Amino acid sequence: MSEEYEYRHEVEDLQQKSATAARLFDVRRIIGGLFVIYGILVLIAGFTASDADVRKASGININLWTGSCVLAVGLLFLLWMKLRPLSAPGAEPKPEPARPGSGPGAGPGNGTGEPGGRAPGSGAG
Amino acid sequence: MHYLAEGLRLPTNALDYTILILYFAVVLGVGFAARASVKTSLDFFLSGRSLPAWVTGLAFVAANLGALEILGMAANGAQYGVYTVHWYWVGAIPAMVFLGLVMMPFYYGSKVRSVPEFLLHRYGPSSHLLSSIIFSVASVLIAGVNLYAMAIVVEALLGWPQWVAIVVAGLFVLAYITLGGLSSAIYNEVLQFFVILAALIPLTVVGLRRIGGFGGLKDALTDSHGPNFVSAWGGTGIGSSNPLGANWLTIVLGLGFCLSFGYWTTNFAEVQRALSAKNLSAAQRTPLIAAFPKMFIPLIVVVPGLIALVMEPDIGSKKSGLQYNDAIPLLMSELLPNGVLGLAVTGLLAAFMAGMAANVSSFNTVFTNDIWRAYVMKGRPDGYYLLTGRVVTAIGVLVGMGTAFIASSFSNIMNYLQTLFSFFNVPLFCVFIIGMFWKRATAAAGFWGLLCGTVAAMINYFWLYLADVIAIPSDQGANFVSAIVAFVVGGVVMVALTPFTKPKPVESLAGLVYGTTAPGVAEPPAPGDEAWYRRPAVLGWSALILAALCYIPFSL
Repeated sequence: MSEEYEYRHEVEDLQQKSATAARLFDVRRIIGGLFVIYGILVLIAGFTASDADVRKASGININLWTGSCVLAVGLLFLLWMKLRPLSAPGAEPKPEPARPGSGPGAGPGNGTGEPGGRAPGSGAG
Repeated sequence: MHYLAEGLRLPTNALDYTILILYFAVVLGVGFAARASVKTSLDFFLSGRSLPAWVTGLAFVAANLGALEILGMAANGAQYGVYTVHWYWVGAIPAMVFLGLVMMPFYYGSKVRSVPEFLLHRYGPSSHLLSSIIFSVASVLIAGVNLYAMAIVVEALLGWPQWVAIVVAGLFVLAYITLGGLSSAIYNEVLQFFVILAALIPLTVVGLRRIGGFGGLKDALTDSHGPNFVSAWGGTGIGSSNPLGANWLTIVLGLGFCLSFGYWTTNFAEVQRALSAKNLSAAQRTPLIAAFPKMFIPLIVVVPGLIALVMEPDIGSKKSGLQYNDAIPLLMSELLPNGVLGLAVTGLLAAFMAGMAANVSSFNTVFTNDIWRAYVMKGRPDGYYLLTGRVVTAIGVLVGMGTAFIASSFSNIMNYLQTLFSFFNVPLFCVFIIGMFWKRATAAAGFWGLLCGTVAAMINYFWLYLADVIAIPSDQGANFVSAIVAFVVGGVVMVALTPFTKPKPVESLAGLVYGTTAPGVAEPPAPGDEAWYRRPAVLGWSALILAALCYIPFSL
């Protein structure tokens, strides 16, 4: 193919070498962990709420309510992570790069994902 | 925007500060932990195109839910009333659905790394360079606006000197993006989304209770401001006057079509989240998943603005010393006890940092890939551009700190942002949409359409409106009209120039124009993507229907 599509091969190569899928941690752990801690902190404030606190919040012990909800959300995230873990690092199947001949536009001269090997090899083929 | 009233100092205690400090620690921790996943420039700029749809979807909505948006929309609620919901249900959902269903296959499928890069392949270097430069400048400006606004709010609420707030927030953003790139920006956005919910939901609940629920809110506002103030469309007939200074036509065309499609479909700070998704299906679902929370955000942002107006009827006038932008801080100080107050302060600071991080993480990508790599230093190894991205991040944050003072001349932050967007994004959207559906549109037409549309919007706003050549009742109304002008001028210039300029060869447009397919195979769908609730069409159309239903209670 012409150099018009060189950038696509470059992106495919980089996607092959990318480490994000294998090495990036699970965000649910962070949300779950932080929300459990926040929930407990705010709940404590709820249990020790003074009359003035309750009066300020229009008669609701808002710390108690917010604390329980935040704690529940945190626990739900941790539970979700437990039930549906990410696939193990390294076992993540990588998307296959475009193979020569597998699509109408892929000429036989395309590189095979070798770094830097694509541009000269393309062309008439 | 002016200084917040002195009387808003919050009675924070050690518990509130514990909650705040924990958040800062976690934000930095995410940056360090994400660092291990950054091996290539693609990891740094686009998370290796590997994130799941729910993560990118929530980041998509959170990137827009910066503190400027939260404070600004609450301010609009207090100033314009229920009309503010138009920014969500007409002004966001249709454009988000359009992005997911129609435009994402071109963006994601063509494997471009940024919105300007699509212009490079569809049109050519001139429009590419123009839009890359405009985007970079706008991003740094808006990051500066964000920082400045944050410093003022933090000074009023917590009593920190402005420079402390600017330096602390700026350095934290700098650190976690430099370390973890887009992945840590996105992860922190997802986290921020939930923290903001935990902050604003209690605020709204307590506020509603104080003034007697939705019924009490509606009665009080009808008494003080008339029935149109609590209706979405009342008083928007052409020629009738309303606080918004716009009629149904400029709302639907200007806000709902031009501004909104311009913002949501071509603003790279948003689109970048979708481009980091792991496959085309996940990329399409990113804005569609985001549409559902977006639809209900007025409940916790606009409603507090209205509550503030009931509790403090003089807000926005000289008499009270309170600005409309003070609506949410006012409720925080009036209603929240320590504990939840700490969550609210954290949510507000988190929103400031995430809003700025979205600008910085999109700026570094465009500057590195679309300016530095494309025109200054071509053909270096990948590691060079990864390093460049990190350096550019640091420079962007530092320049943002320096430009923090431009925001000071407008009374309402949203006006300022909308003004910028109407000048930059609307002609861009015009050029994109014509380019995606009309093969013949030429490179020259793209460049001149972009330039003329932008200039036309500026002429309309700064000359015709601000110099009173034409009469438009408000800044917002003028924004809507400027957006329409930008779109029409951009489109007319493109259509007029195309027949006289050289078209791009058809084979170079594969995968970029409607009706063509990219060479090579599409990336395979992930297992489970065929489930009905993951089908983009189902998600998109239900979002549209739900948004239309949202109007019913405010239109009868």
